[in-house]
Amino acid sequence: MLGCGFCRIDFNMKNKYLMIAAALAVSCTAELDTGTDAVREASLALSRKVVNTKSRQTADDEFLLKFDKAPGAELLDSICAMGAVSVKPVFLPMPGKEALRAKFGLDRWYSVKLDNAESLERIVRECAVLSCVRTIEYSQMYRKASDEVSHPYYPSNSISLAAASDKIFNDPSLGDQWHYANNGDPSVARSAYKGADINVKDVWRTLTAGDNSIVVAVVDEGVKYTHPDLAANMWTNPEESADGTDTDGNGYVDDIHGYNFISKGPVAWTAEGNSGHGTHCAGTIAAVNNNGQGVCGIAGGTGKGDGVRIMSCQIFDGELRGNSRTIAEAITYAADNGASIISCSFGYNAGDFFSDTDYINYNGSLESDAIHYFEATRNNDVLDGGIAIFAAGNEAKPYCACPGALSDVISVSAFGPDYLPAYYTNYGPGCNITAPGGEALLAPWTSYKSEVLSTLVSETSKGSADYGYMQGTSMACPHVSGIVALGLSYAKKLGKTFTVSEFKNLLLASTNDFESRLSYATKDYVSDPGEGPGSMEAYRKQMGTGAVDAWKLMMNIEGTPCLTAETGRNQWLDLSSLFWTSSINLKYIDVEYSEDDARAVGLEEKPYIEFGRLYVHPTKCGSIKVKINAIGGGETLGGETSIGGMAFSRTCSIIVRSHKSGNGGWL
Amino acid sequence: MIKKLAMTVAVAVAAAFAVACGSKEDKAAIVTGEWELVDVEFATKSAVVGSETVFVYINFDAKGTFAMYQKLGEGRFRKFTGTWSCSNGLLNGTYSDGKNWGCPYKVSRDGDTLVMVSSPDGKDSYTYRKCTIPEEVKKNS
Repeated sequence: MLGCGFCRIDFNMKNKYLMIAAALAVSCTAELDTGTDAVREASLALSRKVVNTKSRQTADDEFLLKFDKAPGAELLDSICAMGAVSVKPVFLPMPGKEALRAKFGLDRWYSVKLDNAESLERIVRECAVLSCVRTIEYSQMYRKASDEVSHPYYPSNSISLAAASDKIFNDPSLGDQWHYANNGDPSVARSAYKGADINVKDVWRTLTAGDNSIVVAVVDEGVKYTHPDLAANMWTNPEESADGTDTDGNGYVDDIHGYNFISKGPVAWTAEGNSGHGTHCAGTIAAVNNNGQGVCGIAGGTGKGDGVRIMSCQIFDGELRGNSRTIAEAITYAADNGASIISCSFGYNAGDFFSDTDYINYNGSLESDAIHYFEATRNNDVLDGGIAIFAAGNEAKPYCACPGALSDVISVSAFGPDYLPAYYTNYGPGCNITAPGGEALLAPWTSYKSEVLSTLVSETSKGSADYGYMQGTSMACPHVSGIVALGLSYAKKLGKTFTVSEFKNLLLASTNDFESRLSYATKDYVSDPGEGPGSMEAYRKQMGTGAVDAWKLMMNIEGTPCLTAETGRNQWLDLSSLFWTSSINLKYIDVEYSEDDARAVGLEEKPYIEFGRLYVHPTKCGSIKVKINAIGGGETLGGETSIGGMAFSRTCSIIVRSHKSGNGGWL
Repeated sequence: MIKKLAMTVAVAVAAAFAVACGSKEDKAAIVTGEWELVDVEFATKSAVVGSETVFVYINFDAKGTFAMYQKLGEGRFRKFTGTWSCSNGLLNGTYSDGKNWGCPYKVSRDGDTLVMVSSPDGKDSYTYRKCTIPEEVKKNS
């Protein structure tokens, strides 16, 4: 252990500086000259290296720092000598992962623990002048992307009429989960819109309902792993025992179904202040299907042990919230223990950051490293890494909250059963896709059925049942996580493999048109929620590529059909088979193809896209492969300088023949 | 078993065909049955450089309806249905959605081989072989 529990904390300042200078003589240059230059340098170092500011939301007994290279014991001792109680690696060692961790700098992040809040800023200043310290971060508290309000639901013992008519699974409450199959029931909402769901039933019926080798980490409150509708689909660490010790020696005590990164022990959900938020998200992803009780989960299997597995990475516990360090630890744990997806229904306030650089440089450097590490960690046979999915946030702001707004993670906005944006959802730059999040106050509002129904926790002060309704982008996020988990399950079944980037391309292209309805439909509330822009027009092209569709993702996973064209004329090709019905609303960047292919089919002019149609003018028979680049959400790409959409693309072939039918048929 | 057909230049097309599509009586004898596309020849041979894989199965039934299962490139089979007719030596048809075929075809048959040549230009020639359409294709389209 590289920590310094032995370090002395009663040095006076002079002694400390002498020790620091001596300790750093070999590995690190300490810029401790006296005089104006030194003061100026120290000030510059502070502004350059300390990525955020101390506030009410920061921990006052800890800060985080990242070294340029892995530090030696002398350097750590010297920091202890400044007055720290300990300086320890943020991440526990993980045999076999050293190289990947080093690649993303996880081996260079350290936590500096203090024994009193008064010394925090002083020690931060002193560390900032060390040239071998790259980044210092006050440990920032997160917030949940939810109002944490739930409404109890008590399942009947008999299958509801809607569920019975479908006969897919025997879970009695499936018919009340409009977000899976919305039949426009006016008791859910007077404005309920048939088809405003994730279109998953045919996937369950004919393709897949999950695969128990796919693990989804729910980074949230603790998941009630004893829940009768979740227990069979919980990830289990086979080497750990519930005995109050670290049985498997991985550094985590009793991490059987995940880990409580707040309280440093087994996952828990009963503390005062818990809302069942994590359990609700988990149920949406993988509540056990076809078990004759409760609700269904998107990738919850068929009742034969084939549901995807839920790993609970607990970062909130009662009134205690996670901070930068616990979040990063949780995400890294997920990567190291087999998760392929992290479902993250939390984030900073929308508007705190307006670019990747903003976020990384001013607050989220540690989390960013952990997310990138997760995305690069391969834990299944399908992908070469992991997929990070975040809620967009519930502040009704015209931009997405971070970390969801980062250009390489999927951010999910929310719609209601009326297939219109929910009043609370963030929208605009950074939002990549939209999904059901439920919505209160929709007329007639005689029940809570217009919110999302899932598993809950009966033992908390905020809940009294093991099932219930919640609303929020927190609820929309696990819908996408569940669909991605289904997609990985199906890809595995087909023996297909993808890069993370390719799979995200498929996901963003697996949507339904969400724009058309904005031009004529209005919200039907019993009372104005007093949030949101007021006009549906304000959401136009601001909710991502469209409403996620599970069936379409499976079709995209199966493969990309060729388009067909005819020789001798300029013609347009419908791109809906590539981008589905969202094709007309997408912002396209360009069309790529090889010169060889262009010559082979005798292109008369460069192909181009207008109104979702690809225009080509071939003069010879043959085929050409084209790559169509588009923006996943919004009009501009996000990145270092601004938040925005995610770059994504689809590649397809165009088969050119002398004759072509009007519907793509071969004859 | 599904066979792959690369859209490459056909080396040769059957030189002689025993029967031509003409009378009403001929119709059933020539095209009815299940067929699998096995070869393609475009008139503009030098343009055929693609490597796309094409699967096409067609069932022409004696009632004058057809079911076609096609997979161009990757993806799943798509099923098309419609009606067909044969007169004056030309096979023509309409899809169930009302769209016409891309063109009529002059058809000829030699045993288990059916050749369909686009008409009237004769630019494209497609060779089909008698087969039994796999159940998995029918089921998954």
